[in-house]
Amino acid sequence: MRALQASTSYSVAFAISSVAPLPSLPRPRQRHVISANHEPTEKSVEIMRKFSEQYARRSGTYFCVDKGVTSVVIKGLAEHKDTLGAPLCPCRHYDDKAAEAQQGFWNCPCVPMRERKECHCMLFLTPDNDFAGQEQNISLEEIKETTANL
Amino acid sequence: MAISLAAAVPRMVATSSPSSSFANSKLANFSYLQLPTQLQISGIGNHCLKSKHRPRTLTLVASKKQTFSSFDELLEKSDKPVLVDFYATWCGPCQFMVPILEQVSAKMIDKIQVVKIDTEKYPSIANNYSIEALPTFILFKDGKPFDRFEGAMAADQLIQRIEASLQDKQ
Repeated sequence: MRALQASTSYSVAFAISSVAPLPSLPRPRQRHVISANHEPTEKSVEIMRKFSEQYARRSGTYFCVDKGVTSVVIKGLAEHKDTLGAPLCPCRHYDDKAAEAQQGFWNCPCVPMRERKECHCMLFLTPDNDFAGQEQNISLEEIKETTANL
Repeated sequence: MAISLAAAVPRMVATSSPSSSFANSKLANFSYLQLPTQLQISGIGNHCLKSKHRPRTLTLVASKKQTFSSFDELLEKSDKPVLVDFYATWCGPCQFMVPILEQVSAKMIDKIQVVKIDTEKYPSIANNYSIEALPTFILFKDGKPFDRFEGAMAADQLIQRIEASLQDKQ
């Protein structure tokens, strides 16, 4: 039996009425959950993955000890990049996402991160942070594995 | 807006896996309300839609399904303080909190009810409470927001925070 995150139970409930067309992928996908949430394209995930590695190095920050957190945020950034054209912070609730993406304050790297190295997404963590690991790298495989059940 | 949700019955709480990585946590029986859980999960993957509904992805065997016409009704009808977790699917810290919430929910089953709200599915509720950063936790007492805090934290910190709030009579 698959393990499921609590969050997916909600998405499943609404999948029936509001499934959006999934982007086509090169291989057939075995999904055991219908999710109304969009899965980001692999291309965008790769772009945001590279960006995250580079920016962590550049800012002297590290990924979370739990790489699952890193992976989810990278996918969230990719998803927004797909739907809004810009990697809007996935750890925020917005009145109008499109307007926010245009405005830019919360586009990753957001202003709080750029100015104060504050990343509440736990994507870029300063070394003194309790949750900071030692890595500034994350592979596409790691991302796929840790988000397989989302 | 019909909100269908499942409430687990206290005696059947199962333990969740202790793994720190949320990728391994199981959605077992929990003592919290999920908002919503229309458990007619048909049409999963590439199977065609069947009329027979089988909650094959959830093990909410012990849960009681309840329907509320609004979030307010849910709050009203609760006999315990309600801890509401406002989250989003692609929010890393929110997913990080999933197993932690399971733990806390099980530990504090007699004291609080835990409800999770997907802010992308219920943006109006999120707007009503001016939710910005995710995750945001609001503890409701007597149907009114009593305490509010943001961000991920360890289970014992969350428990401490909740207990402090519950004891606060102001």
